[in-house]
Amino acid sequence: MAPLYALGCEGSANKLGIGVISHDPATNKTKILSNIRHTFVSPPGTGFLPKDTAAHHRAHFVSVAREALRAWAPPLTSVAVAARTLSLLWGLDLVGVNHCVGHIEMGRVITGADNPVVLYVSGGNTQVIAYAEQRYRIFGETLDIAVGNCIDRFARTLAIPNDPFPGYNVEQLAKKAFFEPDGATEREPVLLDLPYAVKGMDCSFSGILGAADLLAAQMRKQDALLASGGSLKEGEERITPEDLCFTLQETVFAMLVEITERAMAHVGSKQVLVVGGVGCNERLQEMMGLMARDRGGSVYATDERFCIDNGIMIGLAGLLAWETGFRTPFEDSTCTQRFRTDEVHIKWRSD
Amino acid sequence: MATAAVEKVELEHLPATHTVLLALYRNVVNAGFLQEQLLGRNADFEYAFVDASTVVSRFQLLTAVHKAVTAEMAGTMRTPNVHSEVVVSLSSNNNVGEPMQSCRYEMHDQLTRYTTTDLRSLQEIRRPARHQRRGRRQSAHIPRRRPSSLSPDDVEKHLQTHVQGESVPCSDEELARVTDWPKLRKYHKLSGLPWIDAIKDEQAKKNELEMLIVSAMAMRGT
Amino acid sequence: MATPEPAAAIQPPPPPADSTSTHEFPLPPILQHPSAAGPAKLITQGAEGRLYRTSWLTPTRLCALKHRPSKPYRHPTLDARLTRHRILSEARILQKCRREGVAVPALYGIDESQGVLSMEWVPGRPVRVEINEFLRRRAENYPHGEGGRGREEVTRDEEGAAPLVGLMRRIGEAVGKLHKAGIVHGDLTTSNMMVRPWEKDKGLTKGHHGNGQEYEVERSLEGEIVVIDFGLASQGSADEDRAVDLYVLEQALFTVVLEAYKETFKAAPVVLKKLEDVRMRGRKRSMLG
Repeated sequence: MAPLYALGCEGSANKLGIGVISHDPATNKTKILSNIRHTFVSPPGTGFLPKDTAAHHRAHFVSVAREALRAWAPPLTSVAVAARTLSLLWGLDLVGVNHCVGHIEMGRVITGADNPVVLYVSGGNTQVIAYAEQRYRIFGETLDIAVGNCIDRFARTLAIPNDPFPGYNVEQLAKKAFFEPDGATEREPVLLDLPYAVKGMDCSFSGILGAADLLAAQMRKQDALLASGGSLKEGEERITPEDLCFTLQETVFAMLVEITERAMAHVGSKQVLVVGGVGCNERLQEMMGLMARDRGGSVYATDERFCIDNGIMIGLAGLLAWETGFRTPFEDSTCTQRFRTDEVHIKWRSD
Repeated sequence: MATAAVEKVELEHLPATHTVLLALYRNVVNAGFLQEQLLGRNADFEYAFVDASTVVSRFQLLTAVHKAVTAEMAGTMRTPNVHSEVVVSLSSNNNVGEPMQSCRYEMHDQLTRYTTTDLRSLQEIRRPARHQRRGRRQSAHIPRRRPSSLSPDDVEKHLQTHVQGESVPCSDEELARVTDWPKLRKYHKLSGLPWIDAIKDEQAKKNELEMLIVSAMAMRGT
Repeated sequence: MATPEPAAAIQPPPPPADSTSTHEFPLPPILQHPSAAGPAKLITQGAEGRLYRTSWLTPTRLCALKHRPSKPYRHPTLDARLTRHRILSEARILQKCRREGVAVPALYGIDESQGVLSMEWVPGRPVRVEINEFLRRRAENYPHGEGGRGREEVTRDEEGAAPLVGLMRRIGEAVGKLHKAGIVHGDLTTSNMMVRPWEKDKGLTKGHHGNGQEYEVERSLEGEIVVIDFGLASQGSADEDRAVDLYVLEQALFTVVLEAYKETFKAAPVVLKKLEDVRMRGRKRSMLG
């Protein structure tokens, strides 16, 4: 039997306490996962009156509960709790939605692409998907980390800002590779040597990240050497963050476009839809467009309002499922990180 | 001596400016002289002399010529000229560190073997008009005085004057007569392939070996 | 399906620019020169490249010419590196297969800078076409009639299936040899296996090409299995990769079965939908948990 979890709420006196505790019947071990308390402190010389104490508990319940969950539950679970709460509060149906299906349906509605090959690229996912017989089938995917994760982690290596999001800043640095440090004189960006890891319709990014990190380390050595008045070895290329970002983008995006093209050739489609946070990248959209044009087709991409995770995409996919009669019973309203796109029965499509 | 000693061959997918002339001679007695002309870079002897016992078929021979000519057109020759390029294409040696020396060595090697066998083959490629050649890099080493518009007749006359041997058609039948298979298999490292030895039909076996040799030729230098 | 009306703030991004591509395929340089056999014929246009049927050296020797055109979306340096690497890798794999006695097209020429690979043209037809035709012929010879399931017919069916069983066995042998040679194909579909007719008159055990010309033969699944298109192949002995080869082959062979099934049985789509459910239920590869 799996460990049991309990969320406890306490508010009999002036303490408001919420905590999460687990008990594993198999090992008979108990584990405290979070234990948050907020105390109503009455003014000096007064006791806590029921009325004031109730007001305190009402005012702080949400924040304490949130903190209790944050301390323990992963983000997805927290949102699931909130969704269940809203469902109970307002007496609404719950509809469980696959995140990727949400992206796809949103993309289709916004762009008008009716039956595209979908490239879903984000911090957690890298998949090439095509529709067939009421399933979104995964034709290719990453064999290790997601492309967005690769880019984000490399941004961390270079210590570039996370605002608005790391991939955006990598993209901006890559654009600067076309200019000298003065920002005006044009130059040819240097494509450094990174591995290229495509296998059929699958790809992998961890080796590329490792190699890019090594180049970044080499760059820092060069920085130190030059700062101390030394000079580079003859023929050694001066590595810059701009060229590194440029190279990383050129390499991983070429891989993504290649596996997408392979899927398009496989299913005979001329439309390609790019969804997910990485789909905002203009260079990726440009490369995808060049590929699609060569095949006599076109690329459909959305801007950051829709390609980055958002609520309406979940709403839309839920709506479509609801219209076919789909409901998620309260007791089944769990969530999982491992919900494969091809497990969803796309009942609302019949093409 | 046969009347048409030199055969003109037009290869598929090569510009009309390139023509291949083939001739096969047996019982050549002045191999030493021919070798000297090559080593002395006598521009009148722009030929690729090939030891016919190392040739399997016209297909193999022409594949080597095709490879040499495409390398010349692309400017990626590994030797000074298209003739030495043909010889290197046919050889099993992939080491062309010093193109000219390697080429000389090859030629020398080939010609040395001439003296031990009584069968010779000779092959010539007429060069295209100079302005139609592109990307030539290394041919500057070789003086070119000969006009490029030599007809097969001119070449035949030249060969008849200088090659002392018996001219025979450069056909698959004639070539098959002189192919030295044991030497070839050793030369191209094709021993130790039990499944080939197990093929009973001689022609099928030769076909397999021919294809292996051609495949290896295609790979060489890449 | 009703699509929700977007709120006022949501405006779809502009639709992608209309593709004005005329869809012309530039020929590789080698095919721009004259050929007595006439212009090269485009056989397939995949994501990897284009396959042409043309001539090699002489007009009568056919050749399969594979062109990996440069990809405009790729950085030129990366593009050249990948094209070169892939052409050479495919050529090396073909050569290795030939040396090990695996029936694959012989290599005629390589131009890695132009992304061109010239190979022997394998006469015959893909396994996919052969099997489909075989099944269709059988359906005509032994129509499924009511009450026609007597003992006699079963026997006849079993006899009639012998060529198919033979073909399946030869496919298995070919793939076994391939894996034994240390090659993983990467896209082992029934389109990537040819049935090369035996040269019966010469009594050869290996169907051979001779001068590479097409010749008419009786179509009865007879012939040597020649594996083609090593564009996604790799050298290696990982059991996972070999298993993926087999999985793809299994799917491909079953697709042939289903195609014929659909042609024969009107209600097939309903059954196939149900099959999907059965598959989902029975499949082991759930990523849950």
